Amino acid sequence: MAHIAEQADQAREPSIAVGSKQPGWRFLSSRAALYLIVAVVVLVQFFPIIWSVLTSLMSPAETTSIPATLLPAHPSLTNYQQALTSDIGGFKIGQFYLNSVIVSTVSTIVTMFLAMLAAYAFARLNFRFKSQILLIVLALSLFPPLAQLIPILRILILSKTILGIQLFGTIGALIVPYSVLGLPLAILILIAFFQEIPKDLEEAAMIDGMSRFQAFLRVILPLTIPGFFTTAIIVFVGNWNEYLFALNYTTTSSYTLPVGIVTISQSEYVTNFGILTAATVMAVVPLVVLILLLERRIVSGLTAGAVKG
Amino acid sequence: MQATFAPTDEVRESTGMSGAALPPGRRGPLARREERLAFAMLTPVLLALFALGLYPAITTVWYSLQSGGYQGINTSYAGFANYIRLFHDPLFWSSLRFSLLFSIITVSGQMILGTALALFANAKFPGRWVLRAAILFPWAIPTATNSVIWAYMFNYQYGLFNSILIHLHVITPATTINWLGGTTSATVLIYIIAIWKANSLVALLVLAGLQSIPDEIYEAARVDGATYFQTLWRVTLPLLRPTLIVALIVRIIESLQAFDIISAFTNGSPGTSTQNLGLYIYSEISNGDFGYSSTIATVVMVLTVAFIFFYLRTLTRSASAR
Repeated sequence: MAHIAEQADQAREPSIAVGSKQPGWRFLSSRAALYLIVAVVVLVQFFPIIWSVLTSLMSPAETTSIPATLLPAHPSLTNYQQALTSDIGGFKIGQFYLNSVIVSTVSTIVTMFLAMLAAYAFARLNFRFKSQILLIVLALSLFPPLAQLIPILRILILSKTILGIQLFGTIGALIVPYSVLGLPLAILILIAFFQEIPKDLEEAAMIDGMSRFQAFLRVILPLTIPGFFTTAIIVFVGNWNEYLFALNYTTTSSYTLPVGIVTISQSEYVTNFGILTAATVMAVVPLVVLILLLERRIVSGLTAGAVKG
Repeated sequence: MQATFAPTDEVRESTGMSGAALPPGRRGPLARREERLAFAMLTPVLLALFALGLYPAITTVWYSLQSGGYQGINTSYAGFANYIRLFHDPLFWSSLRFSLLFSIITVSGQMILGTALALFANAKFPGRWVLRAAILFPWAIPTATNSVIWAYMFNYQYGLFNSILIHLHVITPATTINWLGGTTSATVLIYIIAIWKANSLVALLVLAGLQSIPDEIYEAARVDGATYFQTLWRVTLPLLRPTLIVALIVRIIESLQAFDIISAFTNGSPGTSTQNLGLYIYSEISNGDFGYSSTIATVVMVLTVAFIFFYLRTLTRSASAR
């Protein structure tokens, strides 16, 4: 079936080489040249992770052979098992993985809840100082965390003496700032998604006797579910990959995966390359699966938020 | 353009329409109820953004006027002493120089390669989703772990690149290159990784810009007999200008804040030759000197806020131009 569909596609776009939209691509009109470039680009983009996967399947001896080998002679999943279960010089990658999952998930949920309310207000409601408040949100979406790092660290340290809550060195020390860190971007992306929904819908709902808030809850929210999940994934990726706060606000027991991997790589014996690459692959694979599934939506979401890396 | 400038539309709409229809104070009960709902929905966000966004930023400036103590405890007001120290600190100047050079070089590379990738991914051919996924991928891989992988690939004993050179008989196992040990090679590698990592962000923005250019414009160019490169230079790129400017400013802002990419790769070594402002802030935090690290952080903030203002002006201006 897929084959037939592809043929139909080609029938609709007879000039394979790009020419249908832009003139002059004829110099690329041979399929071979086109796909050769695609292959090179794909290889360059995916190379570090392909190489990580290969290394993660190697034995310790292979990862430190001189000169290095590219392909594992006897591929095995031992490194993955070891990464998840064993204690590597006092570091437990399994624990880091769990920390990352909890921190990223909880803060994404908090961010999304807050951002949804604000984005709806920006997209649909009229109120005073709207453009000024929105400009502040826009400015904060690009604001350097480096300039927020130290006072937040102070708050985390002082929370013990003032509030009696131990935050520093717990995963709470990350959940609180992460929930706010992703807010501006999430709001901007969600505004774009809310704006895609025709205004008539909630007007109709309000004529039917719903309040504005009820219309938001029952009519608009269900329609934004795809946009909601796209935004949530973008926010989640940001939290999952965050390093600066994670490095400064955690201790060994509350390390997230990136901090754990970097710390081990900078403090441990080189013989742990297999385990480190296994941990890296496990850090990346869930995201890659999500992205491959939702590539088109994520692209539109990222561009709506003017993209923050 | 629609997708790229979503916030802009909002700015325009809110400046043009809201409030203007009815002067404040003379709004009907419905409008007042709407405003109450709006602020009820916004309050949690505004409180959060103030407490963990604006307040820390202002406090950073305040800390930069303090000295002494450890981790911000037992400090005393010191006026501009930290700034005077900064001015005479060669390590600050070398870090600033690294940050600026890093931004100029990597952002240039990202703009050129990102735009090229986007032009290519915008072409229509079967299977182009593979290319789009490939563009998206470097964004998703954690910057810090990515740097660890690259550091291993360039490891002077066990690294892949040295062994490729050995197989090509460029070097022998006895004369392997210590990539991360040399200032020049480490710096160049940092540039390459940073360009590789953030190409995609430029490409995504440009791709959205390209898709908003109507086909008729290309048709017209073709009827006029323009070649591909003439069309690119005279039509496509000028139309992409607003998108390219936004991408450029956003990338500069992000590059000035770079931390994890270098921290996990060389951690500033050899010596302090690859240390940028972010790494310097971190090392002063580790020393417990919150005053001086806040001073450097204030410099980063001033640099980026200047570009943020520029960014906001570009956005609001392109909105009012329409």
